[in-house]
Amino acid sequence: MTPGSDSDCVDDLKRAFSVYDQTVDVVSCWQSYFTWAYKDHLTFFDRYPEVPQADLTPDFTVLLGNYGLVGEVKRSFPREDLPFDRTLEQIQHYDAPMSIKSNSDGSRVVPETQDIMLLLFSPSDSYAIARRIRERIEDGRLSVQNNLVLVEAFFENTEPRSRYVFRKVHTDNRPFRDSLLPKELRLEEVLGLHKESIKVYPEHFKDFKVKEVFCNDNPPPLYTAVYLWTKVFFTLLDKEQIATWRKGNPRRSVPLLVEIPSLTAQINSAFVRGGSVRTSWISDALEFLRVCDLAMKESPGKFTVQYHNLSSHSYADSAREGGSDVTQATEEYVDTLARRYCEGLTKEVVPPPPATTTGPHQTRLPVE
Amino acid sequence: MMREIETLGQLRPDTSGLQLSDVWSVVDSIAESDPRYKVRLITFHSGGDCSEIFRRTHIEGFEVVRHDFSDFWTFDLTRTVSRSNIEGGRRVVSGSFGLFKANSTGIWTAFTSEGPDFFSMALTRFIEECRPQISFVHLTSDQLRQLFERLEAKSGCEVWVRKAVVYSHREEGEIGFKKKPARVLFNFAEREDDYVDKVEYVLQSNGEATLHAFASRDGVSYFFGGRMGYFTDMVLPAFAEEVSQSSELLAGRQRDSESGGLNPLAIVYKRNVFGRPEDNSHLIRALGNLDRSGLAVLHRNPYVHAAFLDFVDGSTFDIFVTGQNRISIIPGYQSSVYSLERLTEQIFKDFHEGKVEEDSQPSYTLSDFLTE
Repeated sequence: MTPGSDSDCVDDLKRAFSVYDQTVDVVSCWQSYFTWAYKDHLTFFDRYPEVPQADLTPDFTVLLGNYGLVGEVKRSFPREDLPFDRTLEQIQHYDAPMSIKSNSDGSRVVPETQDIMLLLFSPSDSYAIARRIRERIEDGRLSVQNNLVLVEAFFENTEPRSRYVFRKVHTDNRPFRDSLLPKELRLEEVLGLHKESIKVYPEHFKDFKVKEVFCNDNPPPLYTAVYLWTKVFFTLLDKEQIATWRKGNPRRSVPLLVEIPSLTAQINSAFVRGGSVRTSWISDALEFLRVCDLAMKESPGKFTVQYHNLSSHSYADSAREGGSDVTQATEEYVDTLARRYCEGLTKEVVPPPPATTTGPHQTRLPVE
Repeated sequence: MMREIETLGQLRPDTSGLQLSDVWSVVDSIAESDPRYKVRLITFHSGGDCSEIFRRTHIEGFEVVRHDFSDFWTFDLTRTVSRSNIEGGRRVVSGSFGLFKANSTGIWTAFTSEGPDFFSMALTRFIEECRPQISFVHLTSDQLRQLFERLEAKSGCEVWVRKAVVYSHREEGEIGFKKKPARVLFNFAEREDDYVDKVEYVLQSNGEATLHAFASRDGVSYFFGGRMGYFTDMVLPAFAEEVSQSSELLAGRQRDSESGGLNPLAIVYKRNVFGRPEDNSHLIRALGNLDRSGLAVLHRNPYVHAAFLDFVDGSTFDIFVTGQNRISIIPGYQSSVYSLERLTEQIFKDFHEGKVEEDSQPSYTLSDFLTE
């Protein structure tokens, strides 16, 4: 196989990357919205909620005094009844009175009123989904004590600025029970009664995205690998390594020994402050880099990364000595790492796929 | 030793108390008598005492000796270039240069009357090797225009362009420009959406040239002849002030290591430069073409979010397109003037020239999220 020619493999990886990135955007949109618009009423926005006793990880929770909102982003709903019902079962787990984080120290409260906001991201059939859910509630197949409120989310490419738009599904839906809030801030007033939509522009959410980086779903290893390569690994180099690079060829590899637990702890304390980056995310990313032939597993939890500039564009010794900018197709790391991974896969001895798998990469490709 | 100091030494054996103004007087008189005489200068930003950085920084292949004077320094500089494609495997370039600090914060100028080989192969390369503590500065076409307008206003003379090099943002190749008033050059560049790279000019009064000089957007100036006073009293201070303001804006932008707070910048355009999807690709291509850097494109269309890493010093930036006339640059925990100069100049050259501004601290209300 020609290196990187498995376009399905590369496309799958890049699609998973993009899906995750958009989920990060959506969560960042809501964090921005509640942080700015509810600044006098927001108790806490939890981007990495965990409900240990129930092993639940919704995409975010919001505590506004005595009103709580559990947010779950869904990219798609299965069409067939059985998997559709299974998806609802997961959401139903959020139905119990849930303790929600009330500050960054980890204190929790169970709010007086709690709603579940199901964010249907770019569905073509959100009204059909709402109808199917209502049917299940009416015939008793689905029992929800807390409200399950459906909100459509999509990216709108409008002039002069593109934006994320959030709009309540107006039929077969339930109201937000946020009457504890001032009238003008009630989601039911804004999204329900007045049928307005919430518009969030990149300038609104960019700061949250930069600071938080991840969301509460497991990221595709490609996403974490790109983050490590562009934001973290360089900071782990010593002065000598950096100096060597500054003067010499930046494509020269520098070996970097990393240990998963300490690297994870460092990211959560110094990079994604207060974040909940899991060791499994880092472990998956390093394993991904191993397949890319950019890391070697030394022992359980320890990898040596061969760190360097992945861009193959030549570099000018000195632009003022006749070096010049290089104009060629843009190379960027998401694409480069995806190609290297797919190329690496073909070199690995791939065990025969289990009988239930449907594709050649299913056992190895990151699954959202 | 510099030729100018040697000349002064013939008049007064003890040269230790020499002042920069003494050097400029000698430059004036040599320029008057020697038509081949030329002073080359390079202005740059330094994060600390540049004279000490030059003295203490050990760079392989360079030898440097400092001499102290009243308000300036001179350096004897030797560079040994070892390369297999050079006859004999090595070549030595040596000479002397002067250094002084401008009144503007962080701005220094090195100058020499040695030839072009010493200037580019030894002096400029030596300064470049002191990165990222020392950073080349850049002026946009608009800043160059303002510089010439100020020079005209202050001197009462008119700036005429003898030769200029103008580049298109998108196409290879330069556009020559000859013998026109400076304003015609800048109007032309603005109309054609080109950028001005280099200008050889004369300052003219009643048809008589009072200064013949050269300026480039990357801080290089030449004094060819005329009255050095115009150059030292008007051109250089105005240049220093302009680049000082730009550099100061780029300084200290790294994220707060305690709070994690952001210190973003914005590149703002007078007109809309992001109207079509290919404009995003154009920006991404510009970012991806910068040497010694890495780029990851997280979101390509319709809004751009890219992560940029400078392999020279580890500076990182998140770059967003946040409007049709606005790019937001959010520095990470490592950010240097050097790297931001590199990044913004790359955007200005390969994409479009804009103005770097402080990105105002956001503050939004409910209506900002509801308004159509």
